[in-house]
Amino acid sequence: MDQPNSVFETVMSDTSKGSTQSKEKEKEFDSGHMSETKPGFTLSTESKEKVLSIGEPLTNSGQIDDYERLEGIRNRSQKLQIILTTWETQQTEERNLRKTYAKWLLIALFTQIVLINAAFFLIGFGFMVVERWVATIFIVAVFFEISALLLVIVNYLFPKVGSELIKLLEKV
Amino acid sequence: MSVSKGAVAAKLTREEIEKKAADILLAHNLYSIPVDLVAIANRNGVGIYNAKFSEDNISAMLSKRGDNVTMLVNQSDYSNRKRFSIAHELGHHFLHLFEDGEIIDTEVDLFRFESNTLDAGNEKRLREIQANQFAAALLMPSELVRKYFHETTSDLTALAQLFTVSEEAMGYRLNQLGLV
Repeated sequence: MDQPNSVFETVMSDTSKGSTQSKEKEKEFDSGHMSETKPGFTLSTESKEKVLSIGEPLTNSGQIDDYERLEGIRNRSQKLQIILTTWETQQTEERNLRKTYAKWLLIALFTQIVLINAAFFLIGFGFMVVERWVATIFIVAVFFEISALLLVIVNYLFPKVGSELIKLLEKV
Repeated sequence: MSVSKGAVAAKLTREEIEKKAADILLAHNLYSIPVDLVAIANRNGVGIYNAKFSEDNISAMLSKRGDNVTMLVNQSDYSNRKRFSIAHELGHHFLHLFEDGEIIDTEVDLFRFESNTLDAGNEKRLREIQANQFAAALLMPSELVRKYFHETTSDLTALAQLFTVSEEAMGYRLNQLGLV
C-alpha cells in the first residue's frame, strides 16, 4: 500500500489526535457548499490524484440530494439569466427600431398636414385652381392617410404589454 | 476500472449477502423505506463526503485506515445513483474491506449483476457483484419489495419512487426476486 500523504490527513484524524490545525488549502472549488480543506483521512498517492475536492460530511440522507437540488437551482438561475438578458436586448433593439419608425412616420404625418393645409389655403384663396371633385378626393384621401398612419403607430409601435416574458419564465 | 487495496472477496452466497443486509437494517431499526443510508453508515463509523473526482466516471471511493473509514461519493451524480453508490460502498465495507486500504468504483462497477458465480476467476469482478447484490438488498429489502410490489400493482415507476432508487435498479431487483 502507498504511504498516506500527510496533506490528506483529515479533520477527523486531527480531532482524534487532539489537533485542530487545518491542512493546506485546496484548489478553488466550483461548488458553493464544498469546503476549502480536505476532511481528515488518508489516501494513497494514486487515489489522492483522483480527488479534486471534498465537501462537508453528510449527516442525514436529505443531504444526498443537496447537490442535485443546488445544481437544479443553479441551472434554473442560469436559464433565467439568459432569458432576461435576451429579453432585455430584444426589448432595447425593438424600442430603437420603433423609435426610428416613429420618427419617420411623424415626419411623414407632419409633411402631409403641411401639404394638405397649404393646398387647402391655396385652393381657398384662388392661388391654385383645381376641379372641386379633385380637391375633395385629395383632402379626403389625405385624411384617411393620416388616420391610417395613426392607426399603425398606435397598434404596432405601442403594442399592448404582452405576457411573453411571463410565459417564458413559466417554462424555466 | 476498480482500484482496490486491502479488499478481499469472501465466498458468500446471494442469500448470505441478503441476510447480512437485512441484519444490518434490523440491527439499526431501519428496516423501512426509503432506507436511511447515511444513518447506517454513520452508525457504523463510516463518514460520507461529497467529492469531485478527476475522472467523471468515478462513482465513489472507500478508504479505511484503522477505525477511520471514509466514503467519497461523486457530487455530480444524481441522487438515486449516489444512493446506490453509497449502498455499494457499504457493501465493500461490510463484506470486503477488513484491512487498511481503499476501493475506487466507477460507473461500470455499479452495473455488475450479470454473473453470480462465486467461483468466478476474477476476484475484483466477484467483489463488485457482491457489493451490488448487497446494495440492492440494502436499498430494496426483499420482503418490502414483495409487499409493495403487490400494493402498487407492480408499477415499476411507483416502486422505484417508493424505494428512492432508479427504475433500472428496481427492474434488476424485481427480476432477481423473480417478480417479473
